[in-house]
Amino acid sequence: MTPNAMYTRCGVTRSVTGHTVIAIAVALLLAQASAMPAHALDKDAISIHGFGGWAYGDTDGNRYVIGDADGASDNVQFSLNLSVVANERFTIVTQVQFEQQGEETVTNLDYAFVEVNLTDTLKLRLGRVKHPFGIYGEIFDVGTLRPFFLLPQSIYGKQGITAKHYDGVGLRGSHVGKSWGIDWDLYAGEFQGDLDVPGPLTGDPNQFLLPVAETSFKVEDAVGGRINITTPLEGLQFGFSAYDGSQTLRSLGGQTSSASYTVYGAHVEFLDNRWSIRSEGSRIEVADGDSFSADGFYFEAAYRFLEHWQVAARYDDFSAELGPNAPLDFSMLPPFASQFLENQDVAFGLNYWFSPELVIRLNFHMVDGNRFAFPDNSAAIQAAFLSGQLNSDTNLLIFGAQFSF
Amino acid sequence: MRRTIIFLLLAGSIFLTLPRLMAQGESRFKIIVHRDNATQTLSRKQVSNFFLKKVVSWDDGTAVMPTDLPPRSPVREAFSSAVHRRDVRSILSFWQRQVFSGRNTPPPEAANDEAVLATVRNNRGGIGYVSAQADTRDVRVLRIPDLERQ
Repeated sequence: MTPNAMYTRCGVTRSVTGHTVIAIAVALLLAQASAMPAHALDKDAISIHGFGGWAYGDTDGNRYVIGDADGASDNVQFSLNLSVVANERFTIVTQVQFEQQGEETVTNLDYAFVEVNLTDTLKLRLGRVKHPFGIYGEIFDVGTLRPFFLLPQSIYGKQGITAKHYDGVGLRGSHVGKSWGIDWDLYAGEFQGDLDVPGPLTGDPNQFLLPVAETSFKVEDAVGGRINITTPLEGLQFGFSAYDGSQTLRSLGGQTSSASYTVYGAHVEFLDNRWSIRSEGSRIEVADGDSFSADGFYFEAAYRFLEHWQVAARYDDFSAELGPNAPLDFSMLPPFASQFLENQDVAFGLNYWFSPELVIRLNFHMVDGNRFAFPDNSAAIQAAFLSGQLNSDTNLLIFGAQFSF
Repeated sequence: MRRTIIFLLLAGSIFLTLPRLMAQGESRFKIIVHRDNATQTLSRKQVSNFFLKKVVSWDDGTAVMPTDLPPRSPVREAFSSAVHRRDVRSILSFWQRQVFSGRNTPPPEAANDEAVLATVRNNRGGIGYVSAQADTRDVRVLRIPDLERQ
């Protein structure tokens, strides 16, 4: 968790950066549209794509991401992606997601931005843009681009390291050499992401006995970037990502202050016809670690055989630390509170790929720690408080399918 | 028993491999460009970069316009293995990643050799690949020295 989520949301002085930039993007679009001849777009200028998935998740106790002890089959998600090459100078890209959450279908605007070609290798992006972080940051929900149904939670879970998008302005460029290549992103704006905080660590007495408080984190006035380097060895690339911004915190006494919010990480990836091997590590520091810090790391490998089958394995590790200035009354924390700061997940997978666009999966996760594994209900939390013990072992079985087009 | 198992494994591997070898043998290809394109030779890497849209302009500034064949085409499979050093499935995954990160879209696909030839004939920046037997009189066939050495 991050300290911002440990309280009820305070009166944040909203940064206007994100909204202003979106307004500029819209103005640019309108200006270009008015300058264009009024004729229908060439059909080749419009691309429609989509992706989605469904899974059944069953655990042996705690809830973990998409599974619970009763077996959860309402994990359904679909996204529609539309891009329009308006002319040789700019492209409009948008993506909308529909996700089942309980009995509701929630619609999210994943991204909507205009990309302006400044040169062949330099592009400007304005609007709500995918967050270029690590390996999976820009393809967050596209299940057909990874070996497991779930993303590695240490980096891409609801813990404040990555967000699906930023609202702002970005530059991206690339250079291709004889053997090496580089592509890079720079961006500025604000972003917001989902955040799950164990109830006892919210610092809010009203949420103390909740298994988990579903909230969000927000980073304002952020500046960040990612660099990706392709090597002479076909399929091997590595890179670095980082961003720095600020977050508004409220102390136990109710005072608000601005704290630095810094995230950085490195990644490496090797892909060929049979193997996909990936690894990433990231670190987050709030108020330079005086309030909160965490490290995430994963290594995953998958091997394809007999054309359609694939086996996969992953080790995923998350570890957080509350700093001396964390706005919590430490005397109120239960004896098992440290379990809420840890998550180790060893996973194995067996996949059948009908095609690159359709896969069915059988995945098994063995989890230790409660950062993302929560008791089923408040009664379980209460019982844990009374006994002084909380079950930290969770096994999750997933059967599901993911597709794209 | 052991000999039977070894025989079955050998037979199975041959059975699984032979159709692929035959397909490669039948699916040699030629890389073609517009006849007014001054380019005579390209490296394998340059061709790959054009078709992956990592490089978008010819030396004279003309926009590169690559055209692919359908994913199931044996000519495309041969091209992908030789030029990209990856199978078609891996390249389709590459394009998925490009599309869903909002970075790029794949080259258009022509239905067959004739469609590729027509596209390249009509576009000065066009580049495509066709089967070795295709009639390429109205276009320029490029030499790819590092493929010839294979």
